[in-house]
Amino acid sequence: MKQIALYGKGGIGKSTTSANLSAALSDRGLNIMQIGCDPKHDSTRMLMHGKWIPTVLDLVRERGDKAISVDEVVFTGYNGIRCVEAGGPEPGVGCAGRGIIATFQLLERLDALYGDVVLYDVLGDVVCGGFAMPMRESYAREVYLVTSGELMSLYAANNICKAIQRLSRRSRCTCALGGVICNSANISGEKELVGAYARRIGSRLISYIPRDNIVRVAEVNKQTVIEYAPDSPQADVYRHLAEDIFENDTMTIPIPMETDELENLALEYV
Amino acid sequence: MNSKTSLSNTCRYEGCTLTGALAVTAFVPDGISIIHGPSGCAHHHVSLLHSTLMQYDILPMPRIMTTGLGEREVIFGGEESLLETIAAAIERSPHAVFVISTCVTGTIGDDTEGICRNEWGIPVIPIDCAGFLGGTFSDGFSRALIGLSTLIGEGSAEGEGVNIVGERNLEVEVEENFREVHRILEALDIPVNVRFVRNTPASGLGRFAGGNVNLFREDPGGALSGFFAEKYRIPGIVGFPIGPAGSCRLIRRLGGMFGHDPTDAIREEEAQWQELAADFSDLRGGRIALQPPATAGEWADAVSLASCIGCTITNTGIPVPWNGPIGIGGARRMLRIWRRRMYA
Repeated sequence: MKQIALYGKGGIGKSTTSANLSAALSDRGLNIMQIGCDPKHDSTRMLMHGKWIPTVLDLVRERGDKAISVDEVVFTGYNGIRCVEAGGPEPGVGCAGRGIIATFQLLERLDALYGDVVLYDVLGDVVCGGFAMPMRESYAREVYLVTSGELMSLYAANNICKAIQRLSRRSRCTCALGGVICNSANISGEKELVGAYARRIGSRLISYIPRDNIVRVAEVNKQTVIEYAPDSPQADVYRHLAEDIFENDTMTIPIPMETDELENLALEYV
Repeated sequence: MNSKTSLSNTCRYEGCTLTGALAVTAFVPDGISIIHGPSGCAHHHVSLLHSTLMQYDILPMPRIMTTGLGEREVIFGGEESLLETIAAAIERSPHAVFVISTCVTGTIGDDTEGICRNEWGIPVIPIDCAGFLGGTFSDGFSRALIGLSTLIGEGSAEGEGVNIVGERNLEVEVEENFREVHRILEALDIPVNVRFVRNTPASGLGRFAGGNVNLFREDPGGALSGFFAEKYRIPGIVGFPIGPAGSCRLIRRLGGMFGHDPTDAIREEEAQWQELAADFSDLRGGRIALQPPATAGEWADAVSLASCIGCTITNTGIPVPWNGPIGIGGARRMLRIWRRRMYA
């Protein structure tokens, strides 16, 4: 079983990338599970054709975690992909990080974590230990950073590198960085900048996803690009990404950049 | 970031902040204390309080409730549980509710203060006791006393005399120590105004503002005396009296503050100390070492007590316990122990 986690700044396109990646992998005949680890709980919506599925934490809130069955938290979406949304507390209260931990513990207890690929789509910054949960032992072994060429997006990616590096010091940690995905924001020199950043942290640019209006059109039709426009060039990009990630066995422990270095690097590509 | 740290990174200098707060709020008989945290936090402290009070034959137990937070509340927030628990507490008709927050609620960011500000019909007072911020028993104790000052309000026109502030409700000799202070006040014909707080109902705390002097059991950091001096413009004296020097000093200060001639009271006090010295005349000429040593603030009073019974304090003396005994009663109890050690 291949377990991968996509991390990146909020709004950068992680969920779109994750859903299309899952869809492309499932088209290869693989058994796929996608778990949204964000209180916004919109990771799997395109795979579910626009349906908001109940979140694990909604159910826990309503009736505790004892009487919950697999069928109530795992929903089948496009091409048999099993979709889960962790959910979270109302904004401004409680601890969403602890919610992620509780979700993972529940899914394990329910024996729900299986398949050829389990994909974790994780909220922006690793703001606390709870959001690093997917990187811990027995969960994702490969982390992919999703970023654009915008400085704030690279900051977030760099912070996630710090988390990977920190966790890698633990004796039983098996998590490492699989590569960097550039989800374009249509900025000049963007591909080169993100590529240079990936090299500087000891990794590589695994895919450049150009900005394409078909993504927006597919979304308003409540589908992934893979499903809505399978013959489009953008679908090909996602399929290549799926192939590269599925075949990827080059993992590294990243060396995060200092903030000054990162800013200087960005200056070189303006 | 809170930069306050404990004195050691291996053990705490003092106990939990929560215990300190409960050592105050649990002694407001018409109040209810709510521990806003996991039931284990509540159980630990209630057990401690229960066993301590049972030892002193004090019943009934103070009214303490808990929000009993579990993982569900940690994830989704504990505010709803707090609302329900406050409502349940108010159904029991207290005059005030004290909400003591814990490490957990401090971590997840529950707005305890905001909830306490709701219109509850009675005072609902938040006391922040997130111990991971570096607070100790003393901090919880002080915060609770300062929190309870809400109940004083603008105060009443009634009241006169001395407010006794911050008695150590969990110490064995708490009533004996109070009696020593009371004896000195009576000698000067000065009344006790309010015990803030020792079995004083919330409804009676308004008298505090009518007091003329605050006498603090102790206040090593100065936070308490500073707060009450500034808020109520009542002058303060810090520390219950230790040894003949401490007792006479307190009489002189109170006499001066109330405009009473202390001469007779001091003469009477000195006579009582001489009676004590006579009762322990067999210890005269002894060389003793205080264990633990008296603090710098207590040292002169410790020397006066030792001198009174004709003993000399020296590092090579017979080790005897030092507990900062309050007044003649406290000294008598301690000297009995000294006698056993010196004759052992």
